[in-house]
Amino acid sequence: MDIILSTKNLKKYFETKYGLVRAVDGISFNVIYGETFALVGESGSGKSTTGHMIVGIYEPTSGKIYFKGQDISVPASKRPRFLRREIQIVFQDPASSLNPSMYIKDIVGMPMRVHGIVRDEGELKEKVMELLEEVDLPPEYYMYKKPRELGGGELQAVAIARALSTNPKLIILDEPTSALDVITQTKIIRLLTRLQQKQNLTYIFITHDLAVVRNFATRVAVMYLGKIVEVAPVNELFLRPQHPYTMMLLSSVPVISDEEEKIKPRKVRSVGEIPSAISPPPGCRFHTRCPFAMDICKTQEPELRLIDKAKQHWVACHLVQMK
Amino acid sequence: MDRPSVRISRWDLWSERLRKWWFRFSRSPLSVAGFIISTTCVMLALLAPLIAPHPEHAGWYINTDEALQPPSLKYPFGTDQYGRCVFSRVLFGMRYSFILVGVVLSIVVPLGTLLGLIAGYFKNTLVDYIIMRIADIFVAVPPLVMALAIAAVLKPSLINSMIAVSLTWWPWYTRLTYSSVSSLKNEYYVIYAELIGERRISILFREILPNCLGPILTKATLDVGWVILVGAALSFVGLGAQPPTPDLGTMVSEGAHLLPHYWWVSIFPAMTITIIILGFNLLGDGIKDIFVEERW
Amino acid sequence: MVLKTFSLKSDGDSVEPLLRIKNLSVGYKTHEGVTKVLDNVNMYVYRGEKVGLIGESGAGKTTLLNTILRILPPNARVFRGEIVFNGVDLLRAKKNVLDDIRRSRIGIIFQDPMSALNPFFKVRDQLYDALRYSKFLDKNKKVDEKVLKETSLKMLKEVALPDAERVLDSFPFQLSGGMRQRVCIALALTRANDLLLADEPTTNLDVTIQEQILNLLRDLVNKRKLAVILVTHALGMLKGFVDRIYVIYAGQIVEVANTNKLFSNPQHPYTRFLLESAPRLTGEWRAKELPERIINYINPPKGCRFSVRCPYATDRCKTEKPQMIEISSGHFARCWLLRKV
Repeated sequence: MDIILSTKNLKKYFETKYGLVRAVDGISFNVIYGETFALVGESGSGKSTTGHMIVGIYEPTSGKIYFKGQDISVPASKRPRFLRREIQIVFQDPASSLNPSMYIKDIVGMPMRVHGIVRDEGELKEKVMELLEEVDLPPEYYMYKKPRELGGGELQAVAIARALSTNPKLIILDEPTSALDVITQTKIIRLLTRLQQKQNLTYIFITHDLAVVRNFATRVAVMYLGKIVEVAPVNELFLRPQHPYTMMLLSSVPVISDEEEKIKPRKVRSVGEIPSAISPPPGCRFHTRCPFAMDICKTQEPELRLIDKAKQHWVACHLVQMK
Repeated sequence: MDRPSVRISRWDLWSERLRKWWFRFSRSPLSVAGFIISTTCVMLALLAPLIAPHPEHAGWYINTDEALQPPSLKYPFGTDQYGRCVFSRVLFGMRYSFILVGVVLSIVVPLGTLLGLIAGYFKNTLVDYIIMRIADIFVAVPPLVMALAIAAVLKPSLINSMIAVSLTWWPWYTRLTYSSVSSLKNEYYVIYAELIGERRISILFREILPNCLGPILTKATLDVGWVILVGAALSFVGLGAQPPTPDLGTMVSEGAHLLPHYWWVSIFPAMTITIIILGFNLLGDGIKDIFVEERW
Repeated sequence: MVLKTFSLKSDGDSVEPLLRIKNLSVGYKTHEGVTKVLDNVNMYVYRGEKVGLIGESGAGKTTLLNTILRILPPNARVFRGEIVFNGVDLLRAKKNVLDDIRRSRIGIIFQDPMSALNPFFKVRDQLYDALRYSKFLDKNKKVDEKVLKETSLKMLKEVALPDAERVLDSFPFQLSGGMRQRVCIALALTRANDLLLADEPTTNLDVTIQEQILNLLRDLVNKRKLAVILVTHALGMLKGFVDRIYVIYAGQIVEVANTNKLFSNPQHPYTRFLLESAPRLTGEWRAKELPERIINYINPPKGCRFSVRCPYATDRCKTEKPQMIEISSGHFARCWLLRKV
């Protein structure tokens, strides 16, 4: 299996007036070609920061990021130009990720213009029209609209078209549907799935919404307070969640049907709050909220270990590792 | 989909834009009044040589027989102490006023905005500090004082008053743009452009500047009135255009001692200043309305 | 869970609802024109009943809650309607009557706790203020610092805030989102003796905190036998909390039913799309796609407002407003394609 992206002990600390915020504190994972790798977590988990580092908005404090084997652990401005075409990003709030003063044509065409993919205005128009068709936005209508005239779903489709314009191999999707209502969310997720199959894309899908993850991702990594606590293929994670935090997350998802209610883990209900990232709890970061916390959990941090080779299921938990 | 398919041309785009601007602008009748007043003033100033009944009076001219005539058909605004037609002089005075404004703003607005763009984008670096501290120095000097200083070095004239006003005016645009840019540069669409690898100059002019224009254009329109007022004040104290150049401020000061009996010599130029400022202020309000973007 | 079924008896000993909204139409005056957001909304809530209001952003849910409490912005226009609370028409009530109701009858929890709390004042000051201007405190006891502090601590403990003393002494920005929302709930409870309005109280919170807050709300509401209108855009939140659900689209109520009936037998096309679109934890995601349409409140369609988006829309749907049809007892929907059972 070919790995398109991998991180090794990636860390990002921010200096603030309240102290050092350890947003991402040593995470390592691989992303395989063609898969949808989900980074799941709540606020303070570090998932967005990770995405920002991969795409180059932040420079890692330490640790490495490898893209197709090449070390890219630097901010975007220091990366070779072709990388800016290969790795793309779609942000959460389309209203602020698209320039409100520009026409859709220019928004979508910007990356192609910058990289010289098109030679003149005419070719730019052609390509933009093709891209808008790809994302189900009839070009004749949308080309000369401005962002304020469109709804959230349409704007996200534009952002996706823009991301596709440079023929990327990897797209970071940073909570792409969190700002959309549930009906529009369906549309966007379906669109993303279609595009992935058609163009052989790899997605890193950052979100807090477990229900969408189950219906979109192939593999999932659960993050808590800057660390990865569990990694597994999506079905495996939902059927046999191992880490107490994963179970807590799952049991908190609001569901409608009775059968969904049944598969929610019963043993762990939500308690407590996310501790501060400036002074995280010693040992296992989750121990302050974990119903199974043992003495060792308070002093020693568990490592992320492979607990099921066949199913490629990794967990960072003393209790699980003792079995 | 049931959306109409229409091929759009450049002309369509611009006419739609103008229509939208006019729609937002014209919702306030006062703004429309401002538009009418200001365009009329500009037209009058432009056509001064053609409209003025006695264009030669706008220079060296003395005719003591016709001096201090009250307003009449021959002299709509009366004549001054040298027998010159006040109306003609007012028309030419407007010309000089607008020339002053035109020159000052064409220098100050682009320069100030550009410096603000650069300082704001490179916020918290040496470039920012240098530009903004220099701006602070210049903004601390009142235009009148600056004009005095320049007049002390060079002789007082219209051009030198333009220089003086420009030097004290540009920092306001720099500050205005600076504050807009500082917040805009953290918007995700700017970050995205940086990620893609767009050149910084391109980012400044394509991504950031169009979103700053609102306050800048509004201020520029309101500034027309202010600059004319300051220019008139300079001329009033003798630092601006020198006689016999018909300058509205100079005319007010020359006729001041003739009040109240020969009121027309001062009052008409003063009223003209007032009307021009009023017109452009109302226009500025309307321009501000154009840039109000609301999503429903 | 035993669901209370309330029904409007047509005559005889009819139990009057605590809150009755009749034919309410509300809009706003904007730069571009006058919007007509709420269109003939009818709703009722009985004493002790928990009602949910579900719809997407911009559907008018917040407008509705704000109209009940008369806290609309100055450019709002109430075109017509009545809001009868305990026999008083809130839309036409005098200020002192309204103040009294706001002080001790109806409380509201807003969506964003960060902007609902004043950043310049400590929690203590905001809680004391709320208590001083409510009828919550015992009239016989002198209102002094000691009484205020005791009552405040008691309330913070009730909303399961650990370390209540420290919370009292903190500024809002020093608290987490979940803690802030608990403070807001405490504040709302100083007022709500009859009715609690909750405007998407957990939308901005993490999902694990959401669960905790919803459980807390449920316990508090049950304990005090409060009536609740819970507004949200997520259906899952309503299950296990409310007895009845109103579905709103573009300012029109399109369906109302008991929670169980709504989930098991949704009738209106919009409700069905909502239910189908929610991604599931089990089974397949068989949602159909619906085109996105921005609702034009300045020139809304003459007929059913959902007709612009509805794949089954007929010409009649676009021109004539459908009336509410009774599907079964307590279950109503507004759609030309449905027939009375």
